[in-house]
Amino acid sequence: MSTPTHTESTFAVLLRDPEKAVQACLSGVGRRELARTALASFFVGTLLFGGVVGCFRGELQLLFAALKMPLLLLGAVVTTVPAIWALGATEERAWPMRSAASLMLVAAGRAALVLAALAPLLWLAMDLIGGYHLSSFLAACALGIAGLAALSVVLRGMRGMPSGTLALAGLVFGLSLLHSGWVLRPWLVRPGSPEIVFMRTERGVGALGSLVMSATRGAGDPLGYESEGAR
Amino acid sequence: MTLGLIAIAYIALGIVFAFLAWRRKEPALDVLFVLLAWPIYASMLSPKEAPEDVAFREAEAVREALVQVADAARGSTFATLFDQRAEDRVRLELERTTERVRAIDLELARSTKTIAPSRASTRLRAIRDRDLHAMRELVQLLAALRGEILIARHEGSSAEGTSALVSEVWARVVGLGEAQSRDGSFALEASIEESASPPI
Repeated sequence: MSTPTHTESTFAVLLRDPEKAVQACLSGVGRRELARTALASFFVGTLLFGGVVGCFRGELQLLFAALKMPLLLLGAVVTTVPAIWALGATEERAWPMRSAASLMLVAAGRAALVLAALAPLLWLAMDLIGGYHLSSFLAACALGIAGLAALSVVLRGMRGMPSGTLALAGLVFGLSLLHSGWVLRPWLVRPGSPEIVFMRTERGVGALGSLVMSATRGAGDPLGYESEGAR
Repeated sequence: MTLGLIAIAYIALGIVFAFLAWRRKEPALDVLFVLLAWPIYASMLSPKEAPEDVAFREAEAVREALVQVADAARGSTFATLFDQRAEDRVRLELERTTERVRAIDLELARSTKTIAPSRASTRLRAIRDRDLHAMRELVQLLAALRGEILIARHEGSSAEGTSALVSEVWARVVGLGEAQSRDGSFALEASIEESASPPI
């Protein structure tokens, strides 16, 4: 005998039923409750993950990274919402700003839940293996996995739109995430760095140049032993 | 402009929006979220409803009701009432109707630039309202069918009692499809007539 259907909590919808969550964003039915739950999940998940990232150095960096991680993702989401709304509005369909905003909130909320789930694994890996480059690589991988969870929500919401629109939306999000991440560095703090700061202010080679340099160094020294003393 | 100034401006605007939300007696959590994430959260509290995708919402209600009927019938003799093919047919008609209502909404939004409503826009609105009404009726019928199925399952009776409701549901679904083919040419005609008539 079948069991009668029951009303799911908004958290269960956010966690288990992305299709239903997207429908709520687009139709407006239960959208506000879902957005509230998604934002709460977003803050909890990103604070937790940021704290774990900051554990690499410990001390004050734990607090700094925990505070900066929500800022990082919030910055990227805030930049992307108007872009997604504008891109979607070029299609002839009902696409109010609040649909785009709630869709991004739900995507960010799901990504944060994935980050919260991966945080203990990252913590364990950093504790067992250690190493600056490997830890930063694993943290980036966790962010990438969470990004995929978010992407699946956004793609569902923008279903039917041309692939070029979706690619542009992804590009805006990726670039703003990269830029926010670069502006808000340091995240792990290199082992030999003498001081812990909330944000670095000196000019460097830029986000992309730094990525190339870090990848080159990391390939030769994955555990980061030679990074001791480097900034 | 430095990052510090941007942060101060963000927080200042957040305080203003949070104060407005607090004055509107929004829940404390919403006020906090507006303060922290006003660029994306403030629109959720907006008192003025933006034009929504009404057709999608109505179609969604039908789909939800359809899932509930299928859930109630699953694993019983009633399961044959709505097999996969039948569900696919209903979904297809819903999609067509949704698209048509959206197209009419778009046309009506364009035609609001003229001062007086034309005969064509009045007729378009009538088609739209009839489609929405048909979807709402379908939701009610499906809810009634689900109730009948649950009662019949618990009483152990046959599917006969529900057959009238199933026929009625099918009549509505077929009606949506027929309306589509009958009004499709008219909607196009009305649209042409609308665009051909000079603005008043």
